[in-house]
Amino acid sequence: MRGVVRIAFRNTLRQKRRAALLAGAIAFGVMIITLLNAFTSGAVGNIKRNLSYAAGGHIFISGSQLTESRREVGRIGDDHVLRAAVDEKDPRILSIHRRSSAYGSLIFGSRSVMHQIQGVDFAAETQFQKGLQVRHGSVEDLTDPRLLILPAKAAQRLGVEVGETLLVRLQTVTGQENVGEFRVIAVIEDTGSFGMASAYASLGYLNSLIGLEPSEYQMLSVFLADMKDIDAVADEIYQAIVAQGAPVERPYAGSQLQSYEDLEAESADALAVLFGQAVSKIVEEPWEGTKFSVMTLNEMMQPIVSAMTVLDGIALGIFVIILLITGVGILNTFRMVILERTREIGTMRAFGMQKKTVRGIFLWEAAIISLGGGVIGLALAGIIAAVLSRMTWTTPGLEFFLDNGRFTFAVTLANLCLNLSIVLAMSLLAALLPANAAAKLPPAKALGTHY
Amino acid sequence: MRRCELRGKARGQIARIAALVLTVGVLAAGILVGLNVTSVAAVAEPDIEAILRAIDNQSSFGDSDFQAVMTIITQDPQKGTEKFVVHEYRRDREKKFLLLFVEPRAQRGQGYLMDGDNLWFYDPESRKFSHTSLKESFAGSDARNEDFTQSSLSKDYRVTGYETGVLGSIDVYIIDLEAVHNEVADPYLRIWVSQGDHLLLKMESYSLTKRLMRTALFPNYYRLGDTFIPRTMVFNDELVQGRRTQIIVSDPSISQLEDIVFTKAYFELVNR
Repeated sequence: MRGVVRIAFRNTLRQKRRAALLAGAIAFGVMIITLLNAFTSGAVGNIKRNLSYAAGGHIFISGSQLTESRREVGRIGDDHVLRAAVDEKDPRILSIHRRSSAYGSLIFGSRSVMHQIQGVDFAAETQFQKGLQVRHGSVEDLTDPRLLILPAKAAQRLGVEVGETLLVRLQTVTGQENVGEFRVIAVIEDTGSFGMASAYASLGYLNSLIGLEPSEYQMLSVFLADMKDIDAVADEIYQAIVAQGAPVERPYAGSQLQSYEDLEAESADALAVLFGQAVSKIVEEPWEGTKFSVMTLNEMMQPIVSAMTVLDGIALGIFVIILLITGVGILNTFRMVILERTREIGTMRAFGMQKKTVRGIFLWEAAIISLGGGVIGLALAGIIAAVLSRMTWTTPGLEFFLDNGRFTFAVTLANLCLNLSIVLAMSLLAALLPANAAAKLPPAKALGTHY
Repeated sequence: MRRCELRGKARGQIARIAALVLTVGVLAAGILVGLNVTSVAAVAEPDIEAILRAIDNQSSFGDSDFQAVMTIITQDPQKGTEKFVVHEYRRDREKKFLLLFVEPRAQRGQGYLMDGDNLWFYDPESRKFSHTSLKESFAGSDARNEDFTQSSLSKDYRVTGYETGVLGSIDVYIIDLEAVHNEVADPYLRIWVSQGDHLLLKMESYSLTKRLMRTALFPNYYRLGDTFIPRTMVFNDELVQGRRTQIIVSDPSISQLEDIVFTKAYFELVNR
């Protein structure tokens, strides 16, 4: 075996240019597919992380009640059901936030900008300040009921500074117009460079503006220590609520069974509720009390993951086409090789080399070229990924895919092994016919052949 | 009794009778005057609830359909001036209306459809309808979707006070209103209504915190039968300095419209 490999390796080096061309084509295909796979994996991870910062958690339990006219409003009043369902001492849970939110127009003079505001119970969320990167002002004293902590981009667009007062025009949970006055106490960095960072205000004051009681809120969000636990913890919370007999739904679970259009519409509604925009549909099937809805980041990400899967599929298709073309090249090349080395084959056979050994030599040559090309392709992909991931991008619209302004390339061993396996299989398949032909050459005839 | 004494007594009695008559007369006159004043006052006291109903009735087309072209000009200190041209179709008896953008080109084919209690926004790019609300801003302007429907002040608001005044050269009632439910966008309104023909000339919208948010002016009207439609509407944003929207209504008509106009299919039809 070792001898066969040594012979195959030596034969490969004898035709350096030819081997380099074939390996180069394979390297190009492997580089492309590896970069694309790594990009989509990294992008999905970034989107998930950025969305979790913007939305304030990994699992979201919202509550809604019906008005007299059967319109649904986001409101959790009596939350004994949630307190029983969510175990705050669970080691998988990093933190729990009870918040309300509104999406309104921040107004300063002649400037206005639409923005989400989250109402935070600063007395309960004692670690809240630690998660903020303060650019101007201070978040030490959070006792002012009309305080506002503003992301830097919004502050810049409004031209407002710390200490100044601005107006916020928003709607109550029933859709009525209201205006509040806030004082900016701090300007913070936009978390995750996502562009969807929230402004933060006191939960009590925000509730008073959107028509909720001081003790009420709209959403319980759960931050987990590990995103891999999202589905498991969400299932447990859902079952715990069901066990208490409260109306609850998981409208976006099992979404792989829905059509893409339904999924898109439901995800749009989910995102609207999550970011404080009233959904003003009249409810077809009314309920009593508070109905809970459990939603996870994974479910919200479903359309994005589907899109990325399509992208992966396209990349795989391109890769296979490249390999097919390369495979034809390998086939023709090895046919020529066998013609050139017919006497050599005859000599080896005359000295007692078995057919399978002859076949093995050619197959190993194909394997060495393909694996060599594959490794070079991986190395090139690694270099390009390293260069791209060090560059900072500020193009508008790209924040969604970036981690602090940079691309992330996430490579998995499974993907690498799969790609290399495909390359190897294609090369061996392409070389099989000529290798068989070489193995079957009659030694006497081969010895007498002149090329 | 001596004659002089008798004369004196008679004079006294006559004086007392005269005083009595005078007192009764003054009292009677006073009562009469008082009654007159009261009755005059009773005649002058306006029935504000009736005025609100008149405004609502005058804005409704009843059994007729309505169509018009609206030119909407928005001025925003940040975005500059934008112009939209929208075709409006209304069928008040079925609580339906349709708004179709014809300008600018980027928004051509977009529109709103109200069908009963549901309001839909149509996007021809995605060919999808999304649910929206009458309380939402129309095309990002200072007008709201509900500004294009018939008025329902008498149903949605109660009167909390009024006074008389003058707006320009027109005698008006200045009426304060409070919403009776939370289905309307403005919790509080102050409206100026002409005393003669009960036309709504000016409206100030206040938030729940009683902050002035918007001022709407309706300086002139079309009359179509018994219905009055503003010819011009001006909405001033009282929170964002320099932001306003002007709507000019032209080519009004109350000719009958086809039923398909008030369906989702109409959007598909005009966008082919």
